[in-house]
Formats: sequence, structure tokens, C-alpha cells
Amino acid sequence: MTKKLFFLLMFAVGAQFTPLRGAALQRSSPLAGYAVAPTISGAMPQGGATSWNGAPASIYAGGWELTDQDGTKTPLDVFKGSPVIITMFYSSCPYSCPLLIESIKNKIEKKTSPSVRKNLRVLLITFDPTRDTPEKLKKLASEKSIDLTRWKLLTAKEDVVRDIAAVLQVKYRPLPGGDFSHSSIIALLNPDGVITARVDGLNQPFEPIVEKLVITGR
Amino acid sequence: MKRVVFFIAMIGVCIVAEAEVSPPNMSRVGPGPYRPLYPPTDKEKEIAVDAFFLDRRPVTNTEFLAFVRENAKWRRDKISGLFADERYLSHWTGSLDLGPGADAEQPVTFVSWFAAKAYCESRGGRLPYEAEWELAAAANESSADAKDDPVWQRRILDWYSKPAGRPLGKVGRSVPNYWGVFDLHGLIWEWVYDYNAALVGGDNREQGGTEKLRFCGTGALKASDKNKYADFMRIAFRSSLEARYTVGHLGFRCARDLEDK
Repeated sequence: MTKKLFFLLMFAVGAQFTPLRGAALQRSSPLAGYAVAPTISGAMPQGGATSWNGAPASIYAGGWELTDQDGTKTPLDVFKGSPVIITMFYSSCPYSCPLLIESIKNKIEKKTSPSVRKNLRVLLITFDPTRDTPEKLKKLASEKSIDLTRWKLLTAKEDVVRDIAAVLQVKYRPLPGGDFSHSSIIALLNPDGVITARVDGLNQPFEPIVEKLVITGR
Repeated sequence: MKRVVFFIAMIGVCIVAEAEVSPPNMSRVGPGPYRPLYPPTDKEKEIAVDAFFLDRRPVTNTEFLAFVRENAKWRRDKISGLFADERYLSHWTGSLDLGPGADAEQPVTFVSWFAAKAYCESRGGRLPYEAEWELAAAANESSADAKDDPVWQRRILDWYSKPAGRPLGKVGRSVPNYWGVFDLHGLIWEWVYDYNAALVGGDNREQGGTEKLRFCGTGALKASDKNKYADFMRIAFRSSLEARYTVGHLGFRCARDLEDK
């Protein structure tokens, strides 16, 4: 919905200085209509889509391999069988990284019962494989008193990071100077690795995830 | 003495020739500056793009069919829903059959980012970065930077606004641009490797930074050059994509690093 709104806005702005008005807002099958309109509207799943327009498939199907804070090779499905909170970050980010970790602890974990929490797992994947070495991730885990029996901080090859961001629908780009600009997506995976809830932005309510966990325990 | 000079000159020629050799059907593009329409930060008003190799033509149905034959996991009847939506290769008659709806020399479309990326990797390449693609696409037939060519700009916009009910054209039928690359405009839209970097600017550590740029019209007002409407269209389109989406006018071509990189 927000995307649709975005395009309406963008085209409203665009129409001020182009003759494309009209063609832009057409909706039709991808094989017919206008060069611009079907491609753009066609990019948005039509009807029946879930709130995040995601794949119904398990993200574990990707078979990606990462490395955890102990330097151990770790498949993405390491916590298969448990509900998993999955998110991306980079450790040298001074603001949203601490906030992200606190949010998962305080806004999700603390809102669930001890029995749910006991079963819950957390995967934090870095955007920054160059600087976020296993040692650095381990140090961060200890600074933030992270329970490494239930959480893993992971790094991976750059290409794997790009793939995982793609399935989680995270937008990110490296900035000059080594920082990253990124959207903050927190997703809940069911025990099979299918995304069942997703929060876009740390300033958003975490209820979609908490409710799923409280109601179903997974 | 003369002979020595001659030899040195020949070696020089050889080195130059060596460096200029492109892989088959690829052009060497760049180096050059890419000036984003929405500079994501003040330091990125002009981004230096290293020279790279780029396919002269978009990948065709025939080429993609060969890839699918070799890699069964990318057949439309085998692919995971994680990697492509339900319209993946839906214009082909069968999983391994183009049929009448897909001409051999048309660019392949209805392909996801994952599939495009896997194709390029199987050919020893990769998808071009957005900055690379835009650098290549900023050229007209005679100049690397056609921003001051209103006729060329007009032509692109005409394509963007043209009805597209007709079948897609075949690849390589247009006039190659300054770099020797065909069809960057006028045929299809193309995937880039960092498609999901679009419109992430500013600083998301300020909460909602991404949202501001994604949804707020102020972004358009800050555009560096209001005449670059075509750039704007591409940015808007890319920002609407997710990696598993497949679209009827969206294809791709591959890039490659220079050997000596």
C-alpha cells in the first residue's frame, strides 16, 4: 500500500514536468498496455498478497552458509525447528545497532512468556563482512550481554549478505567512509523458516511479531 | 638503438592491445563519473566508476534457455518460490520450450533478480552495479555523456511513454552507443546487482530516514537535475522491485570486472 502511495506521489510530482500523465497510472496485464505502466504496476504483487508481499517459501531453501561469532561455519537454518528473529545490522553503527539489540530484548523477548522465550532464537547478520570479523562480533555480544546459547551474530561473504538482504527485503548501500545506509527489518521465521511477521523500522510497534509469538508460541 | 626503440614501442603496443581486449560480446565501459539524480550523501554527487566489461546486448530467450537446461533448479517448474514469483518465464510455452510467444532473439524477461544473478555467475560474470549501468546508459552514439543532447533525451522519454502492447524487439538491432553497447534504452528495463540500494539515502540511524526518502515528495524537489526525468523513472522503478519479482519488460545483461582488477 505504501508503495502504491509512493508511486502516486512520485508520478504526481513527475507529471508536473512531463507529458507522461495518464500512461503512468494504468494497470493491466504485464503483456499489454503501456511500456511504463505495466512494468511498474506489474512489479507490485496483485491481490491476496500478505502484508509484506513476501515469498511463501522457507528462506532456508537458499542454503546459505555464514560464519558465527566463534568463527564456526553456520548454515542459515542452524535454528531450524525453533521460531527465529532475524535481522541485519553492522556493529560499528553507533545508533541503530544498540537500539536494535535493545529492541529485540525489551520489545520482543520481554513481552513473551519464559517458555516462549526459552524456545526463541535470534540471528543478527552483519552488512559489513570486512570489518565485522567473528572476533568483533564476539566482543559485541559480550558487551551487550547477549545470551549466545540462543543468539548468533553472523558474518558471511558479501554476495551471501546481498542474497539474504534480498529475501528479507532489506534495502542497503555502503556509504563512502565505511558506514552503511540501510532499512531496519526485523522478521520472525516460523520453525520451518517461513517469514510470518515483519517489522520495517525500529520506530514501529513490534506487536505483529510479539502477537505471533504469544498466540502460537512460534 | 633504433631497434631497441622499435622493440620498446612494440611492447607498448602489445600491452595496450592486451588491456583493450574484451571478452566476446562485451564492451569495455568507463572509467567515468556517475552523477546520481538523488545524491545519497554530499560525498556522492559524483561517483567514480572504474572501467568494467558489459554485455553488448541483453541476455536473450535462447541464451537463458541454455542456462535453464544446464541448471534444472532454475526451470520454471522447479524454481523455489523464494527465488521467483509465479510469473517467472511465464511467456515460454513450456519449462524448456520457448514456443511462439518468445522469440529466440528477444531479450529474456519475466526473470527474477536471483535468476539473473545466477545466470551471470554461471557465465563467469555478475550483474552490473547501478552506477555501472547508469554510466553505460548515459552515453549516446557519439559521446560518453549525452546529458546535453536533448534529442537523445527526448527519444528515451518517447520510449517510456510509448504503448508496449506490441511484441518486444530483438536484441542488437539498435545503434550501439559510444561504448559499443546496444539496447540500454528503448527495449527493456534491466536488473542491476544493487537494485535494493535504490532510494536508501541519508542516514537510517535517524529513524525513518529511509521512509522519508521513500515516500516523501521532498526527494523529488532535491533532484540534482530536473531534466533527468528518465533517470527518475528508472530509480522509481528499481525502488519498486523485490528480488523475486518477474516483470514482462524487465530483463538483464551481465558485467565483468577487468582482468587486472
